[in-house]
Amino acid sequence: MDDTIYSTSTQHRLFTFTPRQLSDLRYATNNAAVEKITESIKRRAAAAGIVESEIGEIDCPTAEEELKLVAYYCVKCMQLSDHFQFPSNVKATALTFLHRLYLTTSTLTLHPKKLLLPILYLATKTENHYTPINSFIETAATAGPQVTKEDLLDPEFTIAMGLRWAFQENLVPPAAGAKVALLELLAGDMDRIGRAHGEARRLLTTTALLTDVYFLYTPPQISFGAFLEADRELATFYLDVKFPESDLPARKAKTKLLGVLDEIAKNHLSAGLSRESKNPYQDLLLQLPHNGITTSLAMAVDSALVKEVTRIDKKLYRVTKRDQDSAGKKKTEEGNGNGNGSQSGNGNGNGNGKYDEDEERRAKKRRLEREKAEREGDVFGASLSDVKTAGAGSF
Amino acid sequence: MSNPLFRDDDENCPVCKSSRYLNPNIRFLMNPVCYHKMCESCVDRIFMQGPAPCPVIACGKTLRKNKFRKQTFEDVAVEREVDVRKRVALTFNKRQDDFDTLREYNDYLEEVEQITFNLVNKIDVKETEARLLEYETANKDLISSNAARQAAEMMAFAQATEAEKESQRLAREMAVREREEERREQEELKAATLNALASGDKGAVKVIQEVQLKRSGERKRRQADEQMKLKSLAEGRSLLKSSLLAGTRKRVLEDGPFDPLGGLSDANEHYIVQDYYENKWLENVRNDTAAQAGGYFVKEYYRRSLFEAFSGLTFFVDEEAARIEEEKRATTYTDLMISDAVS
Repeated sequence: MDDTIYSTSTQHRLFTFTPRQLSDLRYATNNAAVEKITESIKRRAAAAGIVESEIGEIDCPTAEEELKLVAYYCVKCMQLSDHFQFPSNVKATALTFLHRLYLTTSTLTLHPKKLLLPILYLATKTENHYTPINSFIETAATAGPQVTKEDLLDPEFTIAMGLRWAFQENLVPPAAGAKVALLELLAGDMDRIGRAHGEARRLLTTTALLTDVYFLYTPPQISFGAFLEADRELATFYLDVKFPESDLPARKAKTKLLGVLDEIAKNHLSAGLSRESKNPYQDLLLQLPHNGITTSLAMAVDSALVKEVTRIDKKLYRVTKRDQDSAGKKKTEEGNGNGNGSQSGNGNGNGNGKYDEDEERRAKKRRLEREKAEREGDVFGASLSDVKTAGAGSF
Repeated sequence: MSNPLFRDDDENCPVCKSSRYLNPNIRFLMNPVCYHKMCESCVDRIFMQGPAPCPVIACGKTLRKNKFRKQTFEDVAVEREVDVRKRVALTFNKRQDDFDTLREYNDYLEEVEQITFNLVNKIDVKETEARLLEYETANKDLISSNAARQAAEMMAFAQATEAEKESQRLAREMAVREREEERREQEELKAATLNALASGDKGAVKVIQEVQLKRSGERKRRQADEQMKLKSLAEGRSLLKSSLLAGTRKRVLEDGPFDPLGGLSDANEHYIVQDYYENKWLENVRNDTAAQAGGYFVKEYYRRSLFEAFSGLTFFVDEEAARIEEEKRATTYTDLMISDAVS
């Protein structure tokens, strides 16, 4: 029965993959986003009157780079959650949301940095960990970022769509609560069990959340995998009790299960994994140290890695900026100095100095808005309130 | 042409050019080999000596006289399609109860329609014909038995209608006889009463009337009995017939009693929830009256935790992926199975 019920869960239906499928999906997402943004930049350039040969190379981040970036922000999210002192279930949910969201959304479309706090706030709501929004904003401010209510709430719809509306997930309880319950079944060396549980729990709330295990295995397998990594002898003994030797199907299931648990422990959760060790998933884009991805908090502070992520982030910024700006503007901002940027005509009369500072600011705002509307081809003009202030200003 | 309302007086035989205007009794025939029409006298003239090529220019197919028939539909294409459908239906005469599932039956129907369509529209005629032939040879027994079954059904149906008619006739006759008898009785009664009255015996009148009443009651009962017998006879006959027909191919269902859950049980495979687990941090809740009164049961916590710890433990993602892959292919399997059987 247990397995049948699991097979109806959204985790299984929407977010479980084989390594190959997962890797393919990541490449496909990246490809789609790159195509979209290239198209868009070219269109804008054409609209601004730039010939195709002069657009230059559009350097988009690859799927590998995107994954590195997301993984880095996952670590950031974890640190943020620790700063808020949220319980591990909120942390795990927030990280799962991040992972799941960036399966089908590219960082080119939505930058993870802007989403960290909204996702964390959404996770508190999902996990029923009530945090008043004002105190959330205050705590966030002590860590650095200044956010408003709108900043937190506006992206929720986009996030929810990326998650395909599957908020409920039973990831954390097996990682934290149930573990204890099942360990209690063993009447044995309580100290040893306590130690094993502590270690497994540590793995599950840190490393496991920074790897792909939640996409590749079922929650019980993950928690048993962590258990196996923590105390192999104890875990094998426990499984021997659960799957008696005398029963043939049980024995078969156990062999298979042990294989899977070994995979989890050795390929994903093991502390011995590093960039240099052998990659069991050759050519597949998974969150593994072999692919230059942080899978532990300790690795995140590695300066080379930070440098790499900063480079990717800059690259991403340049591409998205190019897409947002009009074609002429981007050339000057990039500072390439090849002065063939045909400035889009914006030589409108500026404020003529008679206005006071306030008036001038308003005029500037209007101009920016007008330019933006021109760029985006907003045929309906600015919103009503803006028109009103604009009218008031002109008198 | 076949429709007398739209008879074309200028219609003429493409072979001898004689027209309906000159010969009002002209009859046109065609041969289902090439569907070229010609008048009856041409057919007699050309094909009297035996098979001969079609006289229409650039046709030249060998035709036989006995195959010539009157055109049923005005449109030759329709005529031809009906012929093709008839022919295909003779070979592909399986029925729904020959299949285990509706899906298989539908696949079969699609296959048949594909063949028919190909033949009607002359697409890959050679291959399609080959497929038809192969199916015919492969399923010879089934086809003949199905044909026999169909014939038997037709016969049974005809017999049933006949029997129905017969029983209706009998009932009608009986009703006539009954009316006649009743009338005769009334007359007898009248005569006897008159006689009794003439003799002035009042008591005798009463006796006669009572006797008469008794007799008519008895007659009515007898008639009702007879009618009943007739009716049950007819019903029994039709019942017997249908059961005989149905019994020829009824499949025996071998599965046991119906299970609405499809074999799913609510038993947990890997654990049994105990009433008590020694657990330090749950002690507080266990002894907290407020929590208990609020409806918090520690056992539910155990149950949930254990369920979450084991739900999906032996569920292997790669096996599931392989199964889904297999299933995806299976849909095409059923499509292929029929064409495999045919080709």
